[in-house]
Amino acid sequence: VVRDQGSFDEFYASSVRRVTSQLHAITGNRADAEDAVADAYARAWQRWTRVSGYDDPEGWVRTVAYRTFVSSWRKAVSRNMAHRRHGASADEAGLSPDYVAIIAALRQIQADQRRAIVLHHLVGLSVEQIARETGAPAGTVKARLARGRRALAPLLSDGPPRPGQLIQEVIGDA
Amino acid sequence: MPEDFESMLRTGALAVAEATKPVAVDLVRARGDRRQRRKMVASVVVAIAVIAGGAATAVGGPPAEHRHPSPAISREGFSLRLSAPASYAFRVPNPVSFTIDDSAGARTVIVEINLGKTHYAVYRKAVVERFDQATGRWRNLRVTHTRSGWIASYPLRVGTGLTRQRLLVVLAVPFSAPNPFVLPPLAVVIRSGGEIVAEQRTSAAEAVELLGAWQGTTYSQIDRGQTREFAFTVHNPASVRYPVQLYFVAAFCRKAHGCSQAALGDQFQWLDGRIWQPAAASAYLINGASDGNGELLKTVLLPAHGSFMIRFRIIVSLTSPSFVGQLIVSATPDSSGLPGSAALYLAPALTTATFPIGIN
Repeated sequence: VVRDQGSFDEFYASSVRRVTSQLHAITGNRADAEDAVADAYARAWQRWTRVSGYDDPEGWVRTVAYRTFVSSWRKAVSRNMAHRRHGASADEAGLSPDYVAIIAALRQIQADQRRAIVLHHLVGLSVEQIARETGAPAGTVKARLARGRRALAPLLSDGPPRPGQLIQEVIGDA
Repeated sequence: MPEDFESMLRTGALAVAEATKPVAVDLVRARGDRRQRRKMVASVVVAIAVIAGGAATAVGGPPAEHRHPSPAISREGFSLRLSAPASYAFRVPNPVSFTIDDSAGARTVIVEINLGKTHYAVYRKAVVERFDQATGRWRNLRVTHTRSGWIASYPLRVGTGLTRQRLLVVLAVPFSAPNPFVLPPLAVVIRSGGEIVAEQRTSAAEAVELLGAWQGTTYSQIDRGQTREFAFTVHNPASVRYPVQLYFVAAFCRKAHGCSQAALGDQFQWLDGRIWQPAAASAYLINGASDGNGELLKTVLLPAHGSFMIRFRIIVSLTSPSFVGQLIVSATPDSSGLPGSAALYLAPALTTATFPIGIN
């Protein structure tokens, strides 16, 4: 099957920076985001005749990049422990202090909540669109958004957290 | 959440997008083609091994090196020796000291403590206290945020010979700061008659937070009639010692009906020295309780770069219903055991680790 190289190159040039920035917000690490995104575009090229016919090829790349990121890390470490040990990465030079603070706060909430928050507030997807992209029911997406916002609030404010605050967020999905 | 959260998020992401230098598209296509060929010869295993190897490297990392202060600038018979931690503790008073050696006679000098300028959104003010030997108390110094950094200054009467000053420094870093957080050099400047007569600064340091973890992080299934032990370790990566409080919560939920009832019939215990102590009722969290801090088990003095391990066990009765739940331990500095004015330090660092378990 002959793949349309021109349309792929155009798609790549118009979307790769945006998808990388979205993955950076979800993963909290620019290098990881760039690796996962590059891998996802390579996969897209592998099956471009099919992917190019999708309604939202950019969403497909974003989803594949996220799965690549998660699966590659799950093989080695617990995602949460890696976040807690390392915090934000050192590749944040040049970013505004406010954005560094937001990324650091996002890294401290649960992964599914963080993904929902980024898809809604950054990518601009509706609850139904997030449900389709993540494969979760709409009610679950709503709950993740609500819990994610609650978990972020103390992290982005000046006030100190209470142990109970965090514990309540931790058991929120129990 | 801040009202302008979405706006800040989008602005920041746009900056990331603009700064991104993507891989050339022909390399991406080549990678896709290689994947295709590898898929055909079923050699994907190699790629996975490479990915896993990279992740494992990221988890480790070299230990922090000790950093030495810069050579001191000394004039007019003054010399200065500064001692500061290489790894500061988050939201805890960190001891810093310096000694002035004056061979030119008694005089009043101005001491400036410059904590440097953090390239970060600073929501919390830095705090500096100095020990007043005359009263035996810690005295708070006014800290101002200037273009060159967070600066505290005070007049000091020095006599001929050695004058030692002890300080406590709480850094100006927000709760959401990265861990570890790279700090600019700390400098002590001595002025006499408007002139700098002595100055010394540290190398860049870092601020680090407590790290808590359960041994093993996978789901643990326990059958009725069994006893199972778990261990939690809290590590202090800072070169500063301080007391830490350990809280414990066992949050359990009936599988079928959500988190509505705590498993009070199941016996949680923790090892205090050589004695197994039963967890108090406050350690069993019923979902919906809005302020479940859990049970304060113990306050331990964590040495610099030291760790403390605490063991737990659960004795599941033969008649226990099925539950799923999580064991949660939080570690936070004990503000009542910190030097200086404890009221100034009411922004505790906190580490929390959870361990999912189920009773079958």
